[in-house]
Amino acid sequence: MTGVRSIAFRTTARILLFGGVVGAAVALGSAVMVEDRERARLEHVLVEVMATVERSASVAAFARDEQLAAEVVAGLLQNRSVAHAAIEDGGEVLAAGGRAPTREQGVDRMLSRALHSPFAATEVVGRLQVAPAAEFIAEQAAVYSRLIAVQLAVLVVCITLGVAWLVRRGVTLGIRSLSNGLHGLDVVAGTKVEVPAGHADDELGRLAIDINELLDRMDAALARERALHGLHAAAERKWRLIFENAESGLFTLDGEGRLADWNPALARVLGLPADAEAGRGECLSARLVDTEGGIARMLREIGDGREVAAADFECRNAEGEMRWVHIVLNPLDGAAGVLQGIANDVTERKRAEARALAQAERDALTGLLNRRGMELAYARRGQEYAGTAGLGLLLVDLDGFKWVNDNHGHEAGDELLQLVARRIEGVVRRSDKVSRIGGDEFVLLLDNLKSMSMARHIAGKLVDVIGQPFSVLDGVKVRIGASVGVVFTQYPPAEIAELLRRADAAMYEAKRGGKSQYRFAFPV
Amino acid sequence: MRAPFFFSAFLALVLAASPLAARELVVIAHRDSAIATLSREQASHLFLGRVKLLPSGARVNVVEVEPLRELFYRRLVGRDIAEINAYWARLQFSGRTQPPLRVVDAAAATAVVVRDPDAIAFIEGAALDARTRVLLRLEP
Repeated sequence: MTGVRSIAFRTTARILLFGGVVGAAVALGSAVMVEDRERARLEHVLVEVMATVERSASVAAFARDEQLAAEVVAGLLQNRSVAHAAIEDGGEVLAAGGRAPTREQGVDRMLSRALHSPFAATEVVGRLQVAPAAEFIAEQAAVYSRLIAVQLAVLVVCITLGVAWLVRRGVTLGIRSLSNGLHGLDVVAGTKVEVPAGHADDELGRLAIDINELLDRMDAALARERALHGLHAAAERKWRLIFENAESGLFTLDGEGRLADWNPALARVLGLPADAEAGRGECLSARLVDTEGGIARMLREIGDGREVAAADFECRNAEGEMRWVHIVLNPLDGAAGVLQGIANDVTERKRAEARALAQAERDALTGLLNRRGMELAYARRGQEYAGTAGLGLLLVDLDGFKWVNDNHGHEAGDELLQLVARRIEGVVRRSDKVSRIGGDEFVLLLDNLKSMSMARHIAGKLVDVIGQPFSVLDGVKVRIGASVGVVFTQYPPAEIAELLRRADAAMYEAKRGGKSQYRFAFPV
Repeated sequence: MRAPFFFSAFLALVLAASPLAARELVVIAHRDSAIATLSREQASHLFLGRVKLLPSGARVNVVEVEPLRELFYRRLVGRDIAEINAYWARLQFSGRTQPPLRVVDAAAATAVVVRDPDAIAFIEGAALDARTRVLLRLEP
């Protein structure tokens, strides 16, 4: 803060300027006025002086005594304001003295007073005439007025200086101290403005206190803000931690199904780069085995106002294994077109389901298809197969199994059934389906047969291998046989029940024909 | 200053009460004087020194009778003797105008007037004699 720009300097300068101008004006005005009044006063004094000598002058005029008149005139001339004095008796001058005024110097300025007889108030016996010393009076008046002007000027200057000093001391220095305090204020350090000395109880003091209170409030607000910020950051960290460490894959999608953000769990299960920046914009469906447009369907559902859309997909994880994921999509509140999603690895469940499904179609004892499995396989084959080749159905019924069961026990029977199943599997082609549909009844579906001869060949081999002795229960040799009914069907396939009925009939024919042989039913 | 004033006031009272106050005063001159009569103003101008010369051009000689001064000036100009004395004191200070000759009684005044044709005086009317002429009568 330079001196030139300080409030104290400017205020003082302005007060001095104002005081100087006003003082000069007052001094000038007063000089003129004082001069006029002084001139009037001096002339009035002259009149009074004339009054004091009037009596003597009257006597002199009455007695026509030049001597006394001269005395009076000399007395009057003692006064320096008197330029000229004369006492006349009628037209005759009894005595006169001083410089007689010239005509143009102002005969009109001449003071004249009638002299009355001392004994008769009405009788005029002469005149007393006095000419004022105009230059002297003017000079006196001027001196006096200058003195007054100087006094006034000194007074104004003193008052102005005093006011300037008081303003500087009382106001501007306080403001400067406050301003300097504010200028050097470090809000973060919590410093305060000092109340200017001597201003504790006035407006400046209050201003300082108000500033400090404001600072306190700002401090408090800042502290609250920091605390909130800390809480927010902690919450953010917590949510981030949950997001990062979740076992489920969490992600967001844009309206077109492109990945925007995801957590490490999703990166692991979909084989995405761990860094969300690197893989951003990749389509979610591209990472899935999504040949049927499942993701697109889910996006449509969400677009149509559904709250949740979910589906299972197969995908390849970071280690290259095929995994199953269950994906759930929701619209993200407050962000138009953005979706949030969860992806859970459901591979184990899928496999368990598949296993359970497979179990339901299998015979627990032999591991062959059961009746249901056989029927499903036949139905599936009907859907999948569109060729012109035929299908052979072989119904195998064991001869002598009941005897083995009765004489060697159920365990031997069960073991025998297992062994039979293995021998049947050893005879058929890989693509053929083998099932056990009853206690000792087996059904074989021989698909893709170009001719009956293959069915004949397999049927013959079956009768042959099952006719060989079996060793059950660690060394018990048993011998059974197989009666086989064969039925052949062309595409489009016949009802399984019809095939089974015909095969059954053929099989009974084989039994009746002496067992351990096969018979063909009439093709469907 | 104060004592003579009270004294003279007292004297005036005494005189007023006395037969003197009731008496007539007359201004007299020589029987052959050039002046026949005087107005009160002319008389006052002569006795108070404003007019110093007679119509003949001779200088007038004014005579006062001491005991009658008070009464005379009261009747002539209506002033106290103190004022008259103060007036003369001022003129005596300059030294140019001389106060009148003062005599003790009417006889002495008459004697002066008889002897000097340029003299005038005032006396009681009762003391008049044939050698003088009355110029002005001042009745009570």
